[in-house]
Amino acid sequence: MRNLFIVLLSVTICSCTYHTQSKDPVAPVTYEATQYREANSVGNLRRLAVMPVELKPYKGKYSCEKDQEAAALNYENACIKFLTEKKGYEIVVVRDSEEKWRSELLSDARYSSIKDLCQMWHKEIAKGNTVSVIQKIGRALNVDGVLVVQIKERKPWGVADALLNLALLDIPLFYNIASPEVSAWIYETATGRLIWREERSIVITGNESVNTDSLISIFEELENALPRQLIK
Amino acid sequence: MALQTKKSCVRLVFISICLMAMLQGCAAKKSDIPDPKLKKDQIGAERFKESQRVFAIRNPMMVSNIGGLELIVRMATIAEIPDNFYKTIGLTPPIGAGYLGLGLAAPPLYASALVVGGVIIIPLGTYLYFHEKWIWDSINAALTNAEFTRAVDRAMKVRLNAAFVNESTPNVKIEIIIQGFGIVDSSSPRQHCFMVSSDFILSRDNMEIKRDHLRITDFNRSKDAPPPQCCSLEHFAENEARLVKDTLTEYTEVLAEMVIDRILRENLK
Repeated sequence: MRNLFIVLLSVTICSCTYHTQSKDPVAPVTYEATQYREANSVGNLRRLAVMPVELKPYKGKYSCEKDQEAAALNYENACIKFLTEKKGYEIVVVRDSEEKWRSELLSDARYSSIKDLCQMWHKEIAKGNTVSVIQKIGRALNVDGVLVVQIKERKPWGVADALLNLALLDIPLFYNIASPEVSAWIYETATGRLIWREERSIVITGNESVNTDSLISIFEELENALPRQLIK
Repeated sequence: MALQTKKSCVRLVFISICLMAMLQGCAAKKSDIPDPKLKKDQIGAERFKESQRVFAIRNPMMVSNIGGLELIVRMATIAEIPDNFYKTIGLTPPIGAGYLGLGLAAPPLYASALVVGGVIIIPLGTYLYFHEKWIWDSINAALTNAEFTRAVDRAMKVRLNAAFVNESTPNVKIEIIIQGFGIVDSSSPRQHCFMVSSDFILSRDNMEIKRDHLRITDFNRSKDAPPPQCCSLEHFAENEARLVKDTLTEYTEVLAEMVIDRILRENLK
């Protein structure tokens, strides 16, 4: 029993929120500016491309793929609104409100479609090699960094789940707390490195407004973008 | 890649179980904040008065002349500093000691009081007290020791010289009055925002040409202002309040730029 308690405690301690920030200087590629803040501030990457939100729902949450895409777009819009209005970032959206890829954004003639770039990203992330693909995407879209958001929707607990949890000495509860549902990563175009990461265990319920509020809380500790008045 | 990783959750459980070692470590490390201007040993009203005095000395009214242009930068109030919450938390260890005393006096009757007082309330309350005090001291020192009027004056001179590089400056008076600045509550319960609110008055021969509010605030922000820096107080206090100092520097430059924009729009000759 004592060992079990220690295991559960360790899981709890090492869970819920994972925050990582690079200590190395970050370098924007779209502007030059006098350094008014620490060189490693994420806010120096003021122009960010937002990759389509990757939504992983539980079985039976959405009746069709279109509903799932609409939900993903809703989450994406909430992130964009918060980062633009509250944090001052200049956001480049790769898909429009009709979910069409905005290939007119491409500033590099070598790439004909943003969709191809995104598919390239999915292949490379599976291999764990993101550096070169981030640099390609960032340079093609002329942005300082790339933001990736992933959401896992978890089925709300019923009475049976709660009883099972009690029978299993809260192990399912601790497991839930330990597994983050919402993750956000910011990569730097110049080097392709991961600069900022936040992963949280947030209860994603059926209520959309609660979900978006929970989602944007992941960005609350993110430093503001460098104000446009300070770039040359 | 050098990465700084922070993992946190269910702090209550963690802190109450891991107690003293963590308590002593954090208290010793985080209360050691270099504060050369504002003396650390002052407490309560004495410290508040000293904060006001230091702030007033470091933020005098700045009057400068650039050709025919007169520039005045002054502060109408002292810096906004968040409530010192740690004093309220300071009451919890004595409460815990009361519980502990009760448990020690009659262990069979008050066994739970021993656990609640000795293992949870005293260590947790003491840890939170030092943690909150560290946050408050860092932010208070950074804001009190800020030289905001001097910095705005300096930024204005640089930008005025750049704006009128090949021509003489107009014969006008520019007055920037800082009505409020500092860290205040925000619309989100978990966050505080660093705000600046100021008035800009442009006049010629004692005749007011233009008056405008320049606000970098959570609500009623000026259209050309960036969003205010909002985050938790802990994040503001980290690394000797690095974010407070960086934000102050940026706001002086942004404020100067916003004023110059307004002057140039007036087409003064």
